[in-house]
Amino acid sequence: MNKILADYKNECAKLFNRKKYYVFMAIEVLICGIVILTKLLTNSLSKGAVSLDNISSALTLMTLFIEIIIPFIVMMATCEMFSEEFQSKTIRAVFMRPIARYKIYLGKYFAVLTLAVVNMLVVMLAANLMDLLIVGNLNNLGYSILAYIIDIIPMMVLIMMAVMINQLVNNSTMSMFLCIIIYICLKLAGVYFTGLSGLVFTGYMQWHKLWLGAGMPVGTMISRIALLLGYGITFTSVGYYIFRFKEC
Amino acid sequence: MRISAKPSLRGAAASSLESLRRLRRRLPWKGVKTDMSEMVLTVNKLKKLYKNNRGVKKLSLEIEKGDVIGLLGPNGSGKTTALKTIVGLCHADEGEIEIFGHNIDTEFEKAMENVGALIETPAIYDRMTAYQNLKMAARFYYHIDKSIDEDRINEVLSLVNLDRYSRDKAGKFSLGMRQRLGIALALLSNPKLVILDEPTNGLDIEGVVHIRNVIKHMSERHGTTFLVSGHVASELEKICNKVAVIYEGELKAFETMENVLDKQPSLEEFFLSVVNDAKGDIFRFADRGNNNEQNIG
Repeated sequence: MNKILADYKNECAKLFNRKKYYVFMAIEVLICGIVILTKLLTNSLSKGAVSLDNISSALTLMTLFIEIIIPFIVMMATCEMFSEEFQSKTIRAVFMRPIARYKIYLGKYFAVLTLAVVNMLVVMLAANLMDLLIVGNLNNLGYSILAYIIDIIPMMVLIMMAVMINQLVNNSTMSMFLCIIIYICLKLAGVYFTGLSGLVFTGYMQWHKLWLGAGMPVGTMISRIALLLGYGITFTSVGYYIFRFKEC
Repeated sequence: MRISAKPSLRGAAASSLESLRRLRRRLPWKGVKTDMSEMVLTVNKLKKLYKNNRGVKKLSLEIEKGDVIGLLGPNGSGKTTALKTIVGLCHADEGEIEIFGHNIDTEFEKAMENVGALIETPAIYDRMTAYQNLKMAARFYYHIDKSIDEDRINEVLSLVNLDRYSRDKAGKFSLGMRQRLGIALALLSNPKLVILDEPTNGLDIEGVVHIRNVIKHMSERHGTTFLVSGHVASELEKICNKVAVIYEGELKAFETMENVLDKQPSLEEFFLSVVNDAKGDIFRFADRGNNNEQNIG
């Protein structure tokens, strides 16, 4: 456990040492600001005829952040953690230390997950704070906090998939390209092939809608949980198997 | 060769002879004393071939505590492949590797606990400072008796003359500075076995002499065992007490430096004689093949 923690700390240090992730967070805050200002502008231009005050910005922005921006950041971080390190051979810095490969795999995985959670936290806090300070109205705070917490689960599966894809190639650009293409294909498959929509995990990126929306039958909820679990186990098993025998 | 004789050797003659033969088969070289309790590294019939059929074909090696072994061979002879397989960067096709009695495949963490290594180019994170690079490596040694504090990090930095640049980003370092940081990373945990692959690459004359002195100091004062690869014979002659010659993926000779210098005026000439013998073997084999073909014809 200590060694997983040691590797996790190292991977986090490497990730959070890069300025681009802070730039992404700044862009996220900026987007929140633009959306809230648009809300204010709509209110004032329509002279109260259209009121968006009662809509939580944190929830409005979820589709954009949870389905597009944060997955993109997560995929980029995963490529840096795995394929870029293999490409530059810096992975040797860890491989030649007394730590088993599964611990390295877990340390890296949790570091990327931390980055995803931090980004989600930044969006949620920024949107709610701006709602409170600019609009002067804080709606559905508890609901939005819960929604962001629940949406960490499909994000975990997405990271598992990105990590697995990174084991297939040692070129970081190619890995990033593959991650994005596969993610888009899965998304489109869920949209255009209705039969697949319930089976593809990317359809559950906003998982909170199942949990916090209209009540869903318990049996269906269990089958959905089992589905995500199945995806997670498959991605992790395949990814780790390749990682375990990788040479550099 | 001095082989520690066991009481059983005085027993039944047939079984004793067989056990002696088995022991001899494990030792591919001559003139090196062996004591299993002091064994640091054991490589047994290692085979690791790449798709182009290059790599290590057959390598058996046993290294005792306090030795400074030079692994000498031309480019592409399999030195780096052997070292990479020893530290677990590559997986062996056949054979076994034990470090301090722990198998590298099944007990990786225990095997690598007392090993420091620098293979090919140093594995350094360019965006981090020299200090941060060492700090990250230090986190893997959390044991109370081995925990690495700030003093130890500063100590290794000054050991390789990088203390003035500890807060500089490694990406701005010159080739020589990167090499020295790589050596600092290998020595950080006070390892009992240090594996260095061409450690003087990119170093200036002063740097080469300095690293040579560091190796000598650690070997003499702390009993650290070194396995140093290189293709410059004169360099290895100055630091090593034993030398292993590897050619075309096979161990061709393993001798103490004393024996080498008894046989030849320098390590370079010894190496050339070994390599020429090996080439001769190949030519003789080829000739034999041709003769056979003629006979068949």
